[in-house]
Amino acid sequence: MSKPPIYLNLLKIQLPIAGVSSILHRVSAVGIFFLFLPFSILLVMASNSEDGYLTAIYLLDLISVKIFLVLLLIGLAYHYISGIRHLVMDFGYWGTLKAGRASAIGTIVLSGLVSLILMVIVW
Amino acid sequence: MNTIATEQISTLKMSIYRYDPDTGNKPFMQEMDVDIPGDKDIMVLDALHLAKEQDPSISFRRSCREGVCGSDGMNINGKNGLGCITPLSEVVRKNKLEIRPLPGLPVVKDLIVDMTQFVDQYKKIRPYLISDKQDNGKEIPQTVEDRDKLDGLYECILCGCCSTACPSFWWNPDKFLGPAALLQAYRFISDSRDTAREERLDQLEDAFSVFRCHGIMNCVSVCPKGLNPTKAINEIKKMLVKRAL
Repeated sequence: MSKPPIYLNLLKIQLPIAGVSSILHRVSAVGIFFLFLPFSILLVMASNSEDGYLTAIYLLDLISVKIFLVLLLIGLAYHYISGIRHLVMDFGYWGTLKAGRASAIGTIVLSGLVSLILMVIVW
Repeated sequence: MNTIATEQISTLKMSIYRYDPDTGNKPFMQEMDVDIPGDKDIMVLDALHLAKEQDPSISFRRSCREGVCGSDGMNINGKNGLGCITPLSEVVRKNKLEIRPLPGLPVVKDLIVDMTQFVDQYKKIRPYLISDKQDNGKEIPQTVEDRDKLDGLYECILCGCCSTACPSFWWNPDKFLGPAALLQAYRFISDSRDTAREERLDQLEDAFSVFRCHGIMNCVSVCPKGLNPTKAINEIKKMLVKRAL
């Protein structure tokens, strides 16, 4: 007898905004995981010698590097703010559906604003 | 809430998930035009019955048809709910109604899912009063205040809408207990007559049973009884953390 099907079409199942916020929290974590290492190497390089510092400055001026830096900062901003939301919820606040929705929207909007400021600073 | 005057819905375009294990064919969506009586806002279950008049082979569970038995949980236009208490005016968009089985559970036939995983998790939390105070079957008194603590917990009808809307339950149906079972776990943990509180918490103290909940509140969003499993889960988490400190 064949294995019974399981209905799980993620494109068809409604996800409330708090769910979207949670997925973005994870996506941002994956992004940070991959982007953090190259920029950490750049930081170490910049602090080791004058040549390393100048090379790091040169690299950070490249558009492609700037794009990745902005992505890293957006990821960090979102992950940080969303993490605070989760902590507040773990302490027993924002436990209703209304508050959960409002805090998820707040997280996304606030992260957007912080990301915008970071983009302006980097550029 | 989007309200649609039922007079406007003369013919509803229904799309119903079909799967027949006897044929072995892959599941498919069956499109149907169903005539809806224009003078009242009927429930999704009523619309399904009208569809069944056209095609008697459509299978779904139903019993009380008033939101008490919890047997007709289904995915209605992307959101889990009970067909019997969900009016068309709440869910129909652009005159379309898509009905699929509860997500994440094996489909037995059409809209009927195998609830074994769900029930197994429910069994694990020992959903009954455990008390060493029991004395010859006499009642165990409880103050009004203690009884009030059970409000919002005991009303669960085990329809499965919450657990099958939870991504953590989809990915770990055997390890994460799911919102329905955890709501009931908290119902007994917070019952003043129950004396197995610590044992119950011991059972929940691992990385998966409770802590896989990340508070996305799908469960609260879909619960047809308006309950809040996320809040109960958070209370259990707090108890476990307090014990560990």
